[in-house]
Amino acid sequence: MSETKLLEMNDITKAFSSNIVLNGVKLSVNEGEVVAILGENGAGKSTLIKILGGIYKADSGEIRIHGEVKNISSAAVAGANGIRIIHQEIVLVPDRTIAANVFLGREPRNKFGLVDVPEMERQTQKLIDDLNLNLRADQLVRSLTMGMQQLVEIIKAISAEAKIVVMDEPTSSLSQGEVEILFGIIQLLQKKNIGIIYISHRLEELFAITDRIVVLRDGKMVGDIKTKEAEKDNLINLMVGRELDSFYTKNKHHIGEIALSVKNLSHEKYFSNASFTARYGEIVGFAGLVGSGRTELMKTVFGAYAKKNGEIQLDGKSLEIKNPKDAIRNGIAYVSEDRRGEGLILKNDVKFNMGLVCLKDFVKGIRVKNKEWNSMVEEYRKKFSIKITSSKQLTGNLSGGNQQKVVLSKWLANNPRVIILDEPTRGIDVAAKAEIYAIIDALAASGVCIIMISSELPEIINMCNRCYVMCEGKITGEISENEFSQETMMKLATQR
Amino acid sequence: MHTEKKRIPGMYFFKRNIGTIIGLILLIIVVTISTPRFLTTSNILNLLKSNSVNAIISCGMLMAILMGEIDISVGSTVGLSGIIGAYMMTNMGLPAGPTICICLMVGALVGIVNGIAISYLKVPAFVATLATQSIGRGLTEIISGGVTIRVRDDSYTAIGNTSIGGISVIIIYAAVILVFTWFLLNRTRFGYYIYAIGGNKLAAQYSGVNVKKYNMLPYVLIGLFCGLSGLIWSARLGSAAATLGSGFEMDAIAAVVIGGTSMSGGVGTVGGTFIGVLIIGVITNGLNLMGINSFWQEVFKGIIILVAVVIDVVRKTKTKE
Repeated sequence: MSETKLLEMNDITKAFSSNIVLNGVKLSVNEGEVVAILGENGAGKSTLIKILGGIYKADSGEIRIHGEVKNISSAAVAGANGIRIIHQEIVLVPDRTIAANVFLGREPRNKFGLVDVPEMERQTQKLIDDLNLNLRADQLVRSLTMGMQQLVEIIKAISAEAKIVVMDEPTSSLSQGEVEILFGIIQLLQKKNIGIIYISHRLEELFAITDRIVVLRDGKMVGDIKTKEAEKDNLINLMVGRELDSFYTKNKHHIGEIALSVKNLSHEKYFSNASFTARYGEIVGFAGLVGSGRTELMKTVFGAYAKKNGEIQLDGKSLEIKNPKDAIRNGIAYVSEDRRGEGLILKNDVKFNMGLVCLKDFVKGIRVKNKEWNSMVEEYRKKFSIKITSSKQLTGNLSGGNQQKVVLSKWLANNPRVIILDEPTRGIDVAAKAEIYAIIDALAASGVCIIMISSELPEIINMCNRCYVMCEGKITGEISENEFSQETMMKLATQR
Repeated sequence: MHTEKKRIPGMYFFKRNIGTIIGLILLIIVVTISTPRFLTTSNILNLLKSNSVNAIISCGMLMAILMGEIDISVGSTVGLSGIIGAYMMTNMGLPAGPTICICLMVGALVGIVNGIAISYLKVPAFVATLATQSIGRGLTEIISGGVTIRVRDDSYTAIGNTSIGGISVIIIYAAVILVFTWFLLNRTRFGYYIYAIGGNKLAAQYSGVNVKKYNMLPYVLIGLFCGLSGLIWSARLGSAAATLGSGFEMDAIAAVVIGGTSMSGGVGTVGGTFIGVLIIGVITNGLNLMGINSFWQEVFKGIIILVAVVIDVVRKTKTKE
């Protein structure tokens, strides 16, 4: 890492109508330096990145690259200045090859003016080989795992001359192995003197890979710390602006009878011979890597996927669950990991979404019981301190934490006996995470049986009473609370 | 929070459709200035009457578009049920009562075929209804033999030619269907589920909605509405031609889209659709009065649709940023 200033963003201020999103923010990146931007949702991280990427225009402030003031007026100008932004969502064309995706929009031409496919694939393959990836340039993107697709995004970003690479939550869909590949790529980029801006909620990663951490809160820069000198608690306090007395909530509560018992459940493709139990009042974790079959197993229990064979018992009685409706009727709820894709109807309002599961109670014949419905919404708004201005607010406009609370309300209104939580805190900021943990704990205390899939091991360790680990479609182990450790879990999650 | 004011009736409707309402008013002003014959009671009643069938079909189209889908077979279904009705009466001597039932059943049957293909067999709505459109149009030609079938039964033609207090009964049918659809969409679980399916099919399914069933049923209703429309048209004209209903899908889609319904589903209202129907109606009527031929009317309609959608898209992108 050299001390040459690559990027300087000075006094960046941006407001949307009267709402000040960024207030005099300063960010600098040296050549070959990895700088983390840390902050809760709504702190202004993405707005800052969008200004750098030319999508928004700052109201005031300047951007310098190599000391020279640049007017980044559009995404094209940002690209021409070597700024590459890798978004969290994958924006590749799935049915085209890796090479076609990498060169999309700037395909090399041969002497007849046609796309030179061999040349394109040769160049792409060289990039892939430079990064030591096990991929072929002519593979279809669709055939890759989500993690590998994310890496293709990175190849695409650095295929043209890049000076600054911004990675927005790059590891959210990566497995442990893929994260290591990514870190290897970052180190390679550093050697090429490329500056990297790394956005992530996962503090462990920031400590592992970054040189400096910039903390944003409410649109202001509240900290700029060398990673070597940073401490986790200090960062969280900076980010949240107050002391979090307890991040995880875990009270002792009574664990009752076996609620859910799954025996030798198999799916055509995703998992086989899965057997597990979960008791009332218990929080049972499911650890493992992304793609280990946990989500698919739970979706099968919930009736969204068809089982091949096996048995699902509730209170000792065998259930025939053919679709989610059957599961819901039996008191099983499933809070999806994909809140926006499977949990909420973003175009519709809070009230609509909250009432969807037990709509029978609110709409009878041609009578809409608005009084009951509104008081239900109000009850959960208070209980979970959901930040909404009105029950008519569209769920698409809420923050991740508030969206998750709406999804939870929707399910709890139906008084479920078993709740399956799939990555309940994914994409949620720190303060809201703590609130979600408290809600989960209170639910368990009230006797609900909770199954929690999580890829964040600390979450499992600090919340669960027992956990199962899955690897490649099989349950590879069951760990009791007093034997919890990241090492054991990682070992079971990667054993083969 | 929750100081929800007592709603002034109609206020919400007005606020929500402010853009289209202003558009409609401007249009009325322009037409009124251009031709004094526009703003007369008889012309307004005539305008409402000639757009009633479009209102009925648009109610159906609204449901399809709310689900993020479309039904382009509506025009052909109107033709098919109209021609079968006329054929039954004139060529087979069936009385009016059974004929009416058959017209409605033909419509419902097409709807069932569409619904099964789309919801259970997962055929894209556009393709499925393109196929039934072609089948329906073909059958219409075969049954009619390419000629217009006259209907002479007075009790049948009365369905389309009676007036109550100077108001054509056709307008009343349309009003009933509009109110019916409004209740269906706003006051029943069926309606909530249509919005949910259009907004996010997976989320609806995972919330316990029987998505297949509620994806299919609207098509049956659309078919019924088309059957009713075929009945009304053949009764009103006292005849049915093989071309009956052709192009009706365009006017219906136009009305729904102008009325602010999102083509990607999940957002849209009966009120907006009604305004859309009126806008289409005022354009056609006004241009007729001005003596502009029907080919130019098509051009104007197309422009209005484009403008309406562009305004909608601009508004959406603005709220996003």
